[in-house]
Amino acid sequence: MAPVQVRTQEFPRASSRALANGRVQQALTNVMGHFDHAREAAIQELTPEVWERYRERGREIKRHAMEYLDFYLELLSERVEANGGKVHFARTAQEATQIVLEIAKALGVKVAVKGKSMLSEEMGLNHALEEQGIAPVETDLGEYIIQLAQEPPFHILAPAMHKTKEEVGELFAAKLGLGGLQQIPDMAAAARKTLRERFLQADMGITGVNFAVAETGTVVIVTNEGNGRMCTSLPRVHVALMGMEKVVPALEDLSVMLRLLPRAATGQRITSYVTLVSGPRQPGDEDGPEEFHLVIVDAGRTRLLADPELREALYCIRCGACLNTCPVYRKVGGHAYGWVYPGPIGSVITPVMVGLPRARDLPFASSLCGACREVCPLKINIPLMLVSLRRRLMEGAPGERGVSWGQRLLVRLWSRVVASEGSLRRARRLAAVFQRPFLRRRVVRWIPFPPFSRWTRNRDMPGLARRSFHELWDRDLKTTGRSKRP
Amino acid sequence: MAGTTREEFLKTVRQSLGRKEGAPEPEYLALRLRREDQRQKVVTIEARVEARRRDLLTRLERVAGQSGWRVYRAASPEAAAGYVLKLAREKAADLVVRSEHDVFRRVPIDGLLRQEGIAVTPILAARAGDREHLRQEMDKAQIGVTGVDYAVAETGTCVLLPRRGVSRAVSLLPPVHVALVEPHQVYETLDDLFAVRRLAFIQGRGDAGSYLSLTSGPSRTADIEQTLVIGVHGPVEAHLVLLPPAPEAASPRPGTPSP
Repeated sequence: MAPVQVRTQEFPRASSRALANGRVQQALTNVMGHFDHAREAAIQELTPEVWERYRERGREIKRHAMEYLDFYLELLSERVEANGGKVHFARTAQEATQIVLEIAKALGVKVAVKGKSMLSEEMGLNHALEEQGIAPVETDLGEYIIQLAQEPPFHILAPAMHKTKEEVGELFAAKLGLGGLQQIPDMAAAARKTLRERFLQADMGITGVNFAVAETGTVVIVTNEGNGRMCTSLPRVHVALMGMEKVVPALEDLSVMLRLLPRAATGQRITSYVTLVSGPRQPGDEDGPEEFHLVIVDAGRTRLLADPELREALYCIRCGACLNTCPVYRKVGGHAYGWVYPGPIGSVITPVMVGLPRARDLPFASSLCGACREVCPLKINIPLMLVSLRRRLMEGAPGERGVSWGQRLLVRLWSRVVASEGSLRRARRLAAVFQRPFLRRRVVRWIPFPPFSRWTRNRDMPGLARRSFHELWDRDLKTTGRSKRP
Repeated sequence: MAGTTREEFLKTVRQSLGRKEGAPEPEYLALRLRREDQRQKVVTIEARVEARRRDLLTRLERVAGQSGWRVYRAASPEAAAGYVLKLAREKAADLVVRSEHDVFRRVPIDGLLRQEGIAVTPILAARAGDREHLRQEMDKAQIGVTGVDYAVAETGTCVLLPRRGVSRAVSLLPPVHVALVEPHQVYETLDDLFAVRRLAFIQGRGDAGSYLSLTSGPSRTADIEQTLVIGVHGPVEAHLVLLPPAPEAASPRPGTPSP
């Protein structure tokens, strides 16, 4: 019943493995550009000015909702109950799992169909259900594929994007006995048929929540396949799992959020389906679940809330745009990050959720190029938060520190050297001499002794120039503005 | 029961926000409009969309087409019924299910299809047996036909408000969904839609209905190699039939009770 395994410590090795894995590299190359182009085209169609206005509004909505989160969670829970739903609160992922299991046991649930929910990945819910003899069935096609493959999601939006169609075909043959599928549409059709039976027989539908409207007690689920509608319409109980940051104050806030999410995620104006659920079936309704349960989960989110430097991470609407644009994610892919949320936003959230020292490599898995902030529909300042986490690793409280005293010493030394012009000049001259044995075509590729060996293993540094800028300046530039020696 | 009490949970949230006690209701514009103001807002919206009706219909047609709807602009209710019949023949359908929207008083699909030996099951008749029977009918049917409660030009969206006679499944389980849209149901933007729904919520004394379904084209996925496939769990084909205005005064919208 343990929540999902944490493998964040393995980032250096896991990312090297991903870089050496030709299939993963091929998949990343094939796919990543699509997302970026689609998003960019959608923004151009809307015009960048209008997009910017929506981003500002969306940011303001989230900022306000987080500032008054206690008020809106209380309002949300009152309104959901007024609509006939039942609200549960869970401080931890384990508590949330317990709640779902109790609901399932009380109703004698045997099969639960699931819409995509990253929170349920945090909880390790599928595993927990299986242990209790309940069959969880992922119904988002990508999630279904990785459930069959028994792998974690590779991407928060396209969980199976690292699988080729050949691999999916083999998987369907091995696990479902459906051999000979070669074309992607045939695979989708096969999934439709197989999962339709499961939808009709399931006792429980479990979904995530994209937004929760406090004012009306409504949860909003955004999908393209229609599996979210199935999960919320056919089984006799619907359980919606939400991280507490999903709340927005008013129904009319949805128009902004629904313009931001699909465009940033897939470049769509809107997804095929947006489903608003306000409680169970009402008297007179033709269908819909008899019971509606909303599980509101903390699981580390209050730590982000309490942290002025990191609170913005709670504005995240899980669109995946920062993953798609990140030069690191685009090479190492989703599995290397070792927990539920990969990519730039994952490198902020994960360390807070699993403990900073355990995830100490993640804040460094970034060139701080700022692309993630540029594309984020909520303009979350991810690079600044990564820097903040790096600082804590270096000089934070003992529980946060994640570097050896040797590394800390080196960094202190470094900051002393670069703090004054004289010492920088002296250090440069020294380094220019010491680099000579390691120069290969003017590039330092590897220095084979510690502490430099680890640093240079994955990094090439251009060698120091024969003359520094300081020297050129003193000699020529200061008076003529032109260098005599290029 | 497992879990934490609401009070305990909110206390932790408050502590994280650096507050001891609950906040007073925050100033937030979208929450502050009371009933009369919200009604005024909707009146303004109605006037705007009425004035732009022609443009809105053209925009809906264009955007819906881009979103994957197959759009048919019917010259008459009979032409709309004829379109459904043609579709049923193409699909070799022997069972069509439909909702109980008012629009079917204008669009006579039942008689037309039955003449051709195609069974048409309106929802109230189907559930006369029981709800399980209703669901089986919908799973068997090749085509589901519905009216809509609203449409949104900005996004090419049809909005359904499930209730008595309007099942959630009729636009979901059959592989083909046909939505019949009347001109007076078309709004311009998502803002319009949610303003109207908020008024309904306030006027219904807090009853928002149990469900609201926004549909913008057929079911789709790109989960394998990011290759777009139309039709996964929901309808493989989505048809939007745009009707001409009704000759008499527009029938009232179901979601917008009069004040």
